[in-house]
Amino acid sequence: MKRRNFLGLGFTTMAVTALQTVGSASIFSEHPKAFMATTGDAALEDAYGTTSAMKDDKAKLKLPDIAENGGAVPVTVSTSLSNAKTMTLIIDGNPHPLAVTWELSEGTIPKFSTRIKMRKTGNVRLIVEDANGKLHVATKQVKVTVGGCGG
Amino acid sequence: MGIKAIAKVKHDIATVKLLVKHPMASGKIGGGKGEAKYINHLTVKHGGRVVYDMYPTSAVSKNPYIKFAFKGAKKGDTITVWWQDNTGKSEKKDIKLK
Repeated sequence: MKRRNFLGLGFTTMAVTALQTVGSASIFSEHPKAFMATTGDAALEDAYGTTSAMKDDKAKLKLPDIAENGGAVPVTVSTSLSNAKTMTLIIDGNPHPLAVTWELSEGTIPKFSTRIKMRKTGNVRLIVEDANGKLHVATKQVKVTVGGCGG
Repeated sequence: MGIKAIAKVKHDIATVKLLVKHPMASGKIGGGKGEAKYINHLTVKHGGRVVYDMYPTSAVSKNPYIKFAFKGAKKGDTITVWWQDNTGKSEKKDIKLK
């Protein structure tokens, strides 16, 4: 019985350790305020400690010029940097501008597509954090004919 | 709840398309009376390594569509999709690469 109890304890400890590892490495658990920020710059300040980002071709953002349905705007984000750490999508016209953060890992091709909600016409920014912690930005204005933050 | 997936391997690159059934509710509807319910973490693992790590918010559209690709995969491999929402609900699904 004693041996059995000991093994059980081991598994519990392992499970707890695994959970902690997942949590501690994430931008979400370290910067929960960034996701609740009400301006894009406040979100960036909290997540990365700066709002200054280089406007170069390292960050690439693909969005339509006009979105007829603000509830589902197709977006593709990518970076030409092979060793970038994170990518963050900011929708400046939304009540909480920080829309998505991706953590990048080895083997992952840093090009992602999804669909986003936009409340109104405004800028969408893609921030790419490179291996040295420097930020790169791509900005694109999207005209929204019908807003889509309900729901 | 429910995860639909198309995952195909060409050479050693796997392209994965996911459709996750989830309301992604912001709680802002009807003057903020609704309940917020959205996925705030989604990962995909391949053989123990994380190949996709996403922190969405309610600014991602209802029933999220996600597309990405990763290297070092072969046909028949299994990937594990896992998500959790802000209410603590989660779902996990194994998908075989074709």
